[in-house]
Amino acid sequence: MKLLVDASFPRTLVHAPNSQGIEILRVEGDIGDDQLPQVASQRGCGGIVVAGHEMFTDLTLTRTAADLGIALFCSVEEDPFAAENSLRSALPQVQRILAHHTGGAWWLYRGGRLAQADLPDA
Amino acid sequence: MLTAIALADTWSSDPALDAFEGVLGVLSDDEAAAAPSSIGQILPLLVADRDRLRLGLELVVRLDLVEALAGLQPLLMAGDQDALLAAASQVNSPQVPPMLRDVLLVQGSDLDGWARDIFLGRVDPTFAPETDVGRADKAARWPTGHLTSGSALVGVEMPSDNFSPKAHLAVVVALARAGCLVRRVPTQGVAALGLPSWVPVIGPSAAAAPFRVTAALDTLRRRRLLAAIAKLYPVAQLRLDFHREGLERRSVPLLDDIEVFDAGAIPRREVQFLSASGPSRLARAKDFPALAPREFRGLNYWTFSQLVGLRVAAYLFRQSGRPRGLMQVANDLVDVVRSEKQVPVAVTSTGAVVVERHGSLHELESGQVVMGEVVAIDEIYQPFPLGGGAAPALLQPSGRTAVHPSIARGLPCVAGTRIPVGVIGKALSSTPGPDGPARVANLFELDEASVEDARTVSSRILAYR
Repeated sequence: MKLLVDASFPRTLVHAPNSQGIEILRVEGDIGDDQLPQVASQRGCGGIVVAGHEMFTDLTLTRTAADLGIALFCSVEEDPFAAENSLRSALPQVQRILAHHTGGAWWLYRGGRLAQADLPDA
Repeated sequence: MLTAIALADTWSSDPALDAFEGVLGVLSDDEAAAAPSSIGQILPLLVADRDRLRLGLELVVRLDLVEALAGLQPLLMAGDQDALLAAASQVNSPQVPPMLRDVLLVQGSDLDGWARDIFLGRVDPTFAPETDVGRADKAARWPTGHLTSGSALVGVEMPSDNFSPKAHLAVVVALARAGCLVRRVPTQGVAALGLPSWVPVIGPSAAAAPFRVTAALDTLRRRRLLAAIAKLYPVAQLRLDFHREGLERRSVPLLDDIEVFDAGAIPRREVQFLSASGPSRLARAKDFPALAPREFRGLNYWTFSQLVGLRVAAYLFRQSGRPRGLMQVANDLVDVVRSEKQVPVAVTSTGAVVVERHGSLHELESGQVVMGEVVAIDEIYQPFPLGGGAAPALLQPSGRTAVHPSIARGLPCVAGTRIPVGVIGKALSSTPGPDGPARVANLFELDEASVEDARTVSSRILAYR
């Protein structure tokens, strides 16, 4: 089970201990937002974690992720270390979502709380 | 060719390319093959007419006419500054004879000030320009400058058995018109010039497949380019490739070319920084339908097209010093940029938006033909002075940062990455101490110079209230 995290997360997430059996990969290079689902698919990832809630305004990103059955997680934390901590806390729930291969989109709030995002255009 | 340059219509929207294309249309293939070197031979004859000489040199640079350099030798030997700067763009091409390269380097070493900055920036990729104009030029050139897959760099195959010289030059002109940096590459392909593998190469044998268009171009430029190529080639279906190094190519039909972030995703401070707009201008934007930001959780976000419109307003304000009507100009412009049809756009010095129709410029509002001087919208992407400061280059705000509307939703990022400068700024504030930059660089797999540059840009953005 693999999860692709955006480059705005520090690399300490990769090989993080207690990652619930999830292999965490980090985005490399300057690929476009709308390409993230393809990259995740090619690298065998069932989910993508991005930062900044504006990411869900990219309809190509959300539509493609939905088409490919890839789950989107969007951290609303602005501080990269706070976002990292929130993601670590959320990993057990992320693991369950990835295990069901359901795709979908979730907001990731402080402390690791996940809330399903309503994306009518996706 | 001499007549074409001598009689070029300097009132046209692009005098150099218009003049060249006018001649190209009546040339045979054999004549077209000789055209690049012919330009080099005639330019020394124009030395007394600097404007015409610069027009010809502009062709050498924009069309990558490396064959012209041999003819330019008298000008280079005489230390002609314009010729040296033009030739500097070609000096790294393997097609330049070593002796000519030596002449160029020796003569160029006598330049000083901004000219020296530009010359060395074009010749030496490792040179760090000291002036703003030098930095801007370096950012805009290849192979010098900070080159990333976000660059609008396109290769065009040299003429071959199934690629006539005339068709080759027509493609080069179309690309230059679309705002691409063109490199004319041997048919052996990209490897011969040492281009990165992600650089798209256009030509019959380059792909034997749909023509590839760089996703690095903004939407308007992509549309211009696709429309231009569609006129030149009877291809059944043009495709837009989202090609990046190491990734499988994904093609989508042209008709599905969706402009991303139509909903608006660039926050206020970043818009202020990149559009050189104060808070009052952004507040007034809400009164104009095409400029009104998207509101989300009490915050405002703008699209890249809106950002360009606001930047035009700032540019015109700097030129005219009068704010009246400029927001309406920006508003009109955004609507045009959004239009589905490719429309060359410019503005007059009085602030009227003009569009090109049937080869001439017309005012958008009145439909009247415009005869005066205009500013092509592409110029708005370059840095310009403003009040006590300066507006940064829109797509490369600093030496190691870049902006692309589809990367991190248009936020300024460390060049070549998806890491917004704001992330680096916040990481640095959470990592105090003298080794903070080194630790942050390690955490984000960057070099320290990029971290420092990102910190500077981030600080400038945060300075906006």
